[in-house]
Amino acid sequence: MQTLELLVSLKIPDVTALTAASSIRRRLGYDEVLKELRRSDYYSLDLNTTDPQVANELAHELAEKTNLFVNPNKHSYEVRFPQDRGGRPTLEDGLWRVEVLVTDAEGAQANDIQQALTQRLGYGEQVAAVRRGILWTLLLAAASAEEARKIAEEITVTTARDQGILANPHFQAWEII
Amino acid sequence: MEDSTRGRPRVALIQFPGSNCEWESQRAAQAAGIACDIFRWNRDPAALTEYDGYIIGGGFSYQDRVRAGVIATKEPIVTTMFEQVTEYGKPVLGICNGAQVLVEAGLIPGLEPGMVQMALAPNYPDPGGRISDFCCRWVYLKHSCQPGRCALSSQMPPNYVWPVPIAHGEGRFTTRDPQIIAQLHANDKIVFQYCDANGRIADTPEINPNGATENIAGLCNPAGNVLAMMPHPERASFLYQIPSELTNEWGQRKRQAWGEVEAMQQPGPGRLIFESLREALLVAVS
Repeated sequence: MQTLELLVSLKIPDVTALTAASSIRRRLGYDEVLKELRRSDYYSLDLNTTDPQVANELAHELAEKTNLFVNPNKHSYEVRFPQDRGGRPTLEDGLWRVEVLVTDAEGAQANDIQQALTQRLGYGEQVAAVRRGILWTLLLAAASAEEARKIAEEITVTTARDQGILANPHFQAWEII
Repeated sequence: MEDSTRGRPRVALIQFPGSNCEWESQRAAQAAGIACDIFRWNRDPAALTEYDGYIIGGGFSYQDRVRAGVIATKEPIVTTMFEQVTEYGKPVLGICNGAQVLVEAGLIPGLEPGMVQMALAPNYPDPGGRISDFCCRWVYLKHSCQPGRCALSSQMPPNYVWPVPIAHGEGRFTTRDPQIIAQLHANDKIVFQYCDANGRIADTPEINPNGATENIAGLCNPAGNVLAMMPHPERASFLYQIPSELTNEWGQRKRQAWGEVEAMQQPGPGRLIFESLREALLVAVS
């Protein structure tokens, strides 16, 4: 079994990310801290192969040929292995890059997509599972990785009227990946 | 010219970018004897303090970006409304997207005002595996709380069963904290529950259209001056809005009114919510 991540983002400006960034800066007070906010549709694909190269090729094929994940007219995409991402804030041009994955707390299984792949599009048992969520990428001005992580948590988790935007913990799960 | 709204309680119906029910909500409020102004989100929030109460109507504020209601919640106008509601006890009715705003604002359930203690999560897919997503149809509600518990349902008899339409994709009242549900029961804060035409409450897709915890369709805060409800009472405020095919008394009334314009203008069951709001506003004014 190989697990890969498929990240799908808009080629045009993402108004949801822009609106969220504006609200975080102007209403939550992170004007000098949040330098950029990006959003991607996130899919985790469990593929029934032991060969990483075969898995990588299959993930690209699913992205490009099924029309389930990517509309090439408006989307760009990236395929990566989970072990290739940082798992913690990383320094990028003097800013801390933090990836926050938000999923449905009651289950991120994308059964509808998996059924379409396995039953209607002929991928059979090649695709064992599909999970989905939203991946937010924050570029933060912070003194350290620890501070960047703390700020990302504050921006993410809606605990009060004036705190957090990206995830309501009463039905969503979140993690820094 | 004489001001026809003089002496009437005044509410501000807050209009966000993406609101789409403001005009019928205004008409329903006016029919109940309320002077109702549509108040744009980007006006000076200080002007909001001149009103006796508030309505946040349905729609898709900020296009439901990120999550329904959350972006609107951070706007200064909601801060002002929050202060007026919590400090002066002014009533506020949140319908559909308005309910989502009130939950994200920490006014509902409001056990600790300002703290977000629940969510209006995406509708739950039914056990058959069909994707529910946006659900738009008529449902029945049971008025579940005791008389006097919620100021915004005060004109409705206990256990009253009434038809009303829903139209939402994120309407499932839920919380990760079981203690919240226990407190909702203990404090009699569940105002409306989804039921069948006979008032039977069951957690089936036919009765509970979004999978809400405890079939919750409407909740009030501990003080009873804030009501958040997902169904649309403004779309059941006139008899002409009621589907003729309903099998209960309201369908019968509608069929009897066929061909009579004035009869069609008679109140529907949703009018009781706005009449309750009117009474709550009069109390707030006094």
